[in-house]
Amino acid sequence: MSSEKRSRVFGLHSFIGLFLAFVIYTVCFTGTFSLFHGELTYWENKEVPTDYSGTPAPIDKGFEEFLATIPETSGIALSVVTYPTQHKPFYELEALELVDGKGPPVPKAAYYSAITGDKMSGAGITLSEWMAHFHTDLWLPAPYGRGIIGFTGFFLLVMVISGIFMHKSPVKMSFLWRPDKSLKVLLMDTHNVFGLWGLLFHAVTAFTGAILGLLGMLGIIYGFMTYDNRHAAHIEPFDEPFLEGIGAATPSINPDRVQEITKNTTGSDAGILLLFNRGKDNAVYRVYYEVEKPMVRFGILDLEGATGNIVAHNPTPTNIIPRVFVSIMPLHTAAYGGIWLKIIYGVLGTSLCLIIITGLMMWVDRNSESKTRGVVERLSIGICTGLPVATFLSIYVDQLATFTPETKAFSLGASVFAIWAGTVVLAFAAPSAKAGLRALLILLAASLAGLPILHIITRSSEYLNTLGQGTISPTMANVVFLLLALLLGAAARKIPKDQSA
Amino acid sequence: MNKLQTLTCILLGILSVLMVLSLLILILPLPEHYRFLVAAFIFPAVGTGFLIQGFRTNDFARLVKIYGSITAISYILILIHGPLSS
Repeated sequence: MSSEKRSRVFGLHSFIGLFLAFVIYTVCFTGTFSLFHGELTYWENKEVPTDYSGTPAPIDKGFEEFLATIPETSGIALSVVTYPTQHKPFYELEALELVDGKGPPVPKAAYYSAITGDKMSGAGITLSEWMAHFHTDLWLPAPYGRGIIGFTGFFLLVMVISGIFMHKSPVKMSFLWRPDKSLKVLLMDTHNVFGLWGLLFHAVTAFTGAILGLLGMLGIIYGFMTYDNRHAAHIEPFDEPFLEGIGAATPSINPDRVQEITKNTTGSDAGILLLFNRGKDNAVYRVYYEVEKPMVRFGILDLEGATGNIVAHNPTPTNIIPRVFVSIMPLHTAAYGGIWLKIIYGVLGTSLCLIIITGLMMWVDRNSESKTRGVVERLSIGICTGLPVATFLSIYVDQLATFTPETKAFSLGASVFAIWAGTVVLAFAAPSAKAGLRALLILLAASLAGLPILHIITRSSEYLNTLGQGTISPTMANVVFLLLALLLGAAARKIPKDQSA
Repeated sequence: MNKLQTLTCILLGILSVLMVLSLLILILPLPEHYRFLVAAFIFPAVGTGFLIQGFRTNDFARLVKIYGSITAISYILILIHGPLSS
């Protein structure tokens, strides 16, 4: 490719990179953090039992109790039961309440212990759950938040692929590492080496993220372009279950019976149960149960709500199109290869964050005469270092402050954004950019180092005694926090104290 | 290309991809439900290809002409074909 062509691709790469760097960085960091959302459940939640044997207690009583909290004047658009697993040893009950029978639906949730079947007091959403929702929806209404994330994934894919076309010989560049040369060369080599070695992961994550994020928005656009009445298309690999009926009141079976039917029919435990029209003659239930088939994560069992008779059973989609489609989610979330695959995804996700940071630093270095250089440099430090600081400091807020479950999400959001804004102010107020970066890295290392201590002081002695008896994820999390603190502390020490930017 | 021209080309490129894929939904010889799945699945790949190949080989004026023509032709073909009945 001629240098003129490469220069045009470089223009596209750097334009998208500069304008969307902070958004892409935010999505990448929150996504990397959310990868370990399941593993952090034990660490974050005091009430989660650590000695779950794998046989869940009955939930029917709790389910009835939960539904009774929804006023009779309201309708329920959909209720969902998430059955316990080893990682989440509790039932998660959710319902979309139609206040006074009208929309939009208001979500309600409650948690029940898998060991006793009793309601957990439920302090509300945890920080990792808050982060996971921020990663998928930016806490904005559907399809806008998710659509923004989807377009971010799309532009990330454009950057990943354009990054290859910018180089004359990408293979050679992937082995070029010159730490003894200037900062400019070091930044470029780091950017290239991380980008090219992690190419497959970056492309797959961006591609799957773009599809997952854009489904709702593409449904609206494609529906508008192709349907005669311009309604949104429903882009899902499987149609929703449907039963004819007049909506007359009829008793329905409950989650424990569904679990029994699923086990007898499929040999597997039910994972998620969706209940449509419960308590009516057209009640129909969809059960997702785990299967071990290539590219497919869940089998599907549809049941008549009134009788429990099987309406449809689809352990593996026969057509390649839905089969490929259902593989997107596990590919994106690393849910197909255990904890080690998640660790590899975590390392590669972190490298993606570093690629964005080095890209920004290269722009700052290249535009030393630009008036906006100083602003971009300090903004980059404030935002890119500030987000991890805000995340880990907000864990302290989550663990130490008392909120009602209803206000928890708002309070955690306020904490994350307030600390994040504070770090940006600190980056601008520091005597030099390097001093600001050093201060923020030390703050980040200190907040990580304090997390194991926080964990010990907020837990009972009975809980701490169980840590050596098979449940290793809180201990592992503490070890990882300490290692990261040491690494960041060492990085902060490398930054010279007295040099100005 | 300056910043405004780059932004214009990116937006036009995305619009042209959406139009081509909408046309594809109308003409693909697959059950209707699967056509939407296919169009959603290939959007990131086709969009990336359109943008990078476009920027590699064309300057601003040619890019506007190419993306504009693709958008216009796709739209005319969508109108000629007629909508899907829902």
